[in-house]
Amino acid sequence: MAMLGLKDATTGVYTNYLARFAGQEPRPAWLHELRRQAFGRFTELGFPHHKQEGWRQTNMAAVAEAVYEPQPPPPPARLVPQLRALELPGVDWSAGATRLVFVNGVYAAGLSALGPEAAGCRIGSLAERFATTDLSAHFNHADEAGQAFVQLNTAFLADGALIEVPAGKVLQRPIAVLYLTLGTSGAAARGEAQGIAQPRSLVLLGAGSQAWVIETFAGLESERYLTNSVISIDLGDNAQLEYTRIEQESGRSVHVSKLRTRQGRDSRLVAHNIALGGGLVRNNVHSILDGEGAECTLNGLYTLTGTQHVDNSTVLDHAKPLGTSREYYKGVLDGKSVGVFNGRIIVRPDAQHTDAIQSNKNLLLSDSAATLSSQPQLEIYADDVRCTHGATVGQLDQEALFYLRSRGLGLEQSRKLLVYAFAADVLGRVRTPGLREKLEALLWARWAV
Amino acid sequence: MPQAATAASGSGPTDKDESAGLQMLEIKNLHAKVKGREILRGLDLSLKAGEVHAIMGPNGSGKSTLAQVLAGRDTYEVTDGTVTYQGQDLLALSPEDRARAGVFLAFQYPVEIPGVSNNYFLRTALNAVRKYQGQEELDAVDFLALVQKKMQLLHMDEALMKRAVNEGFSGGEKKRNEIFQMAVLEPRLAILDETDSGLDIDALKTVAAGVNALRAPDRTVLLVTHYQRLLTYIVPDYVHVLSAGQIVKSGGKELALELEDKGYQWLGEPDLVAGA
Ligand SMILES: Nc1ncnc2c1ncn2[C@@H]1O[C@H](COP(=O)(O)OP(=O)(O)OP(=O)(O)O)[C@@H](O)[C@H]1O
Ligand SMILES: [Mg+2]
Repeated sequence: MAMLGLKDATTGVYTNYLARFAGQEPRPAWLHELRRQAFGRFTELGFPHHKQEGWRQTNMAAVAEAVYEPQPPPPPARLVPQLRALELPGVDWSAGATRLVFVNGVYAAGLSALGPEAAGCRIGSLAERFATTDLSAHFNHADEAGQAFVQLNTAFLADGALIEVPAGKVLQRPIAVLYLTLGTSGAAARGEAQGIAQPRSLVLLGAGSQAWVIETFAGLESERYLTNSVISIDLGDNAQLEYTRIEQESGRSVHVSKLRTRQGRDSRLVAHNIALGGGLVRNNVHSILDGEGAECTLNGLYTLTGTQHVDNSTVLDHAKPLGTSREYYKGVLDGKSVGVFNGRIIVRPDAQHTDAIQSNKNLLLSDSAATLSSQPQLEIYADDVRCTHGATVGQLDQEALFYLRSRGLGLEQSRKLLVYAFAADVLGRVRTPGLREKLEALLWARWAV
Repeated sequence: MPQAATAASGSGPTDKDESAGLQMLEIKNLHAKVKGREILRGLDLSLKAGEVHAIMGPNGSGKSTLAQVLAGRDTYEVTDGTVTYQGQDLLALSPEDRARAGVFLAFQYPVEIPGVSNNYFLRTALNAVRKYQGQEELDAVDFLALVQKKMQLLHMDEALMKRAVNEGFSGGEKKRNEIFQMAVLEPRLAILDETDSGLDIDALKTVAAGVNALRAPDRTVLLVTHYQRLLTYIVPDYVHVLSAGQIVKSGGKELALELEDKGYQWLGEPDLVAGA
């Protein structure tokens, strides 16, 4: 095996990955080959170092040093009540809903369900599909070859959600995916293994089809684990997708994600990213507008407390003419939290008449303790384009606060109302049936300080 | 308890005629600073229930400062003096408790609050006031009925209720919205800071009608204005001149006419009277 590029064998951490890697069943052959190549690349790359471009504000040293071991899921009798106790706006437990649940990255058939609309589609566990079909083309993108976490995910690729909607099919009800990661709850002892899950999602929309997909990433409060997820979305010509990613991980977890989207001609994608939980979070988004007239909206909200660190690094990649992209990310930062936003827009030479707008607005609730870094990065290689960006960091408007109080609203209630109002337009863009109201209720309760 | 304080002052809403003439607000030797500069410099003012008082005075003399201090804005630091409202120490109350106890300020510059609907805001405010005063909170249906009545009174466009608080409102719409809020909240002491500025003649009449509808033996109105015109629609019992942080002259409604005619310079203390 090509273990020679291994950079840091001294920690013993890589030996641990190697042992787990070797323990995987080498079948089917295409999957084994895919994993083997990915593991080779991962060992060459190593975990991103905080002096590395793109990782300067987010230090992954803790991940590089930790030992992870998938934790055994508790018996359903214990897990189900725990799951129900979590308030998950993205998961519909009612009859008729389509729902794919994964525990530690492994499909949980007993918790999942397929609604009537699923019949004409291919919706279910990737693992089941692996046996019959070589899907390597979907898991091996050249633009991800240098991304260590994607390679690590692929090296351990085992299961995840597969959502394939045939051409022309229009779905009315949202498809929900829940990835639950279980961890360990004890204090961090040196060398003690934490939980890990590396789920993979593949969403393929045929030409002219329409769907709503909601993915939720959750954990049990105060458990320690790493979730390293990779999602790949492909929209055929004229397809329309509203995709929502709700991150509700435990406050002591690390969450790393990669969302890669490719859009065909005149397709429309709205991707919401609602970051609520997690101790250390890094979300990578790469949206490729790969067909003329494609439209992409990235709509994000991160609301942080305590010592949370959330990094959203997005790339809007205009590859073809007449593309439109809108990126709206808003953050509410309390306590000693750290927010990072890196918004890169690439307009390739071919992408004439691109229309791109990026905006990142932040509200700092605590006086000085929370910090935010916001960085736009424009790379424009076409001449006839419109590209604008703007970032703001502000505090609660004292005039507005006094105005509300002068009418009888209490101080805390007034503060909460203003925070809520700040986030209102982000939530207002959520059109997935039934979702916005649930998100609003959750956030309202969260900001009830 | 606020209810107890209200009862002690004798101005309960049950017996309106008896409450007239009782003390509503008593300001003694009020000094207030902003950013280290003294703006109010020993202001005295006494308002009784049932009365309408007008305060006039040059730009920058401290009229809005007085209004904001009474509403509890903490940018202004009160360094001396007392303010007694219906028998209780007003300065000891938080802004929200002042509002709940019946103090209302119509802002000279109403604030825009994007993302908060007028409807939600006003219902929450009304219920906060009602709860404090021991009244039952209104549900959405009862609230709507009340609001519709008040909107008619002020010729308010119903669409404004669904919009965010003051966001994108014209200058006149903002002022009218202040009076509309006042009409819904039914305060005991209403302080109107230049509500007439920026209103067209019809809007001025409507706003005046809104204020006059609120006039009652157990209520007091304090109007800050630059123009005699407003006072022909809302006839005051007293007119005061505020200059350089003090009340320098008080009189009846004729004083406003005199000021309109002569300006402020004749009142003397030219070194203290700025502008005019
Ligand atoms: N927040 C503040 N910061 C600094 N100075 C202030 C502040 N508020 C008021 N002032 C100053 O205090 C003085 C009195 O202001 P105020 O607004 O009370 O005047 P006013 O009588 O209401 O004037 P106008 O007729 O123009 O409305 C002015 O010189 C003003 O600049
Ligand atoms: Mg003023």
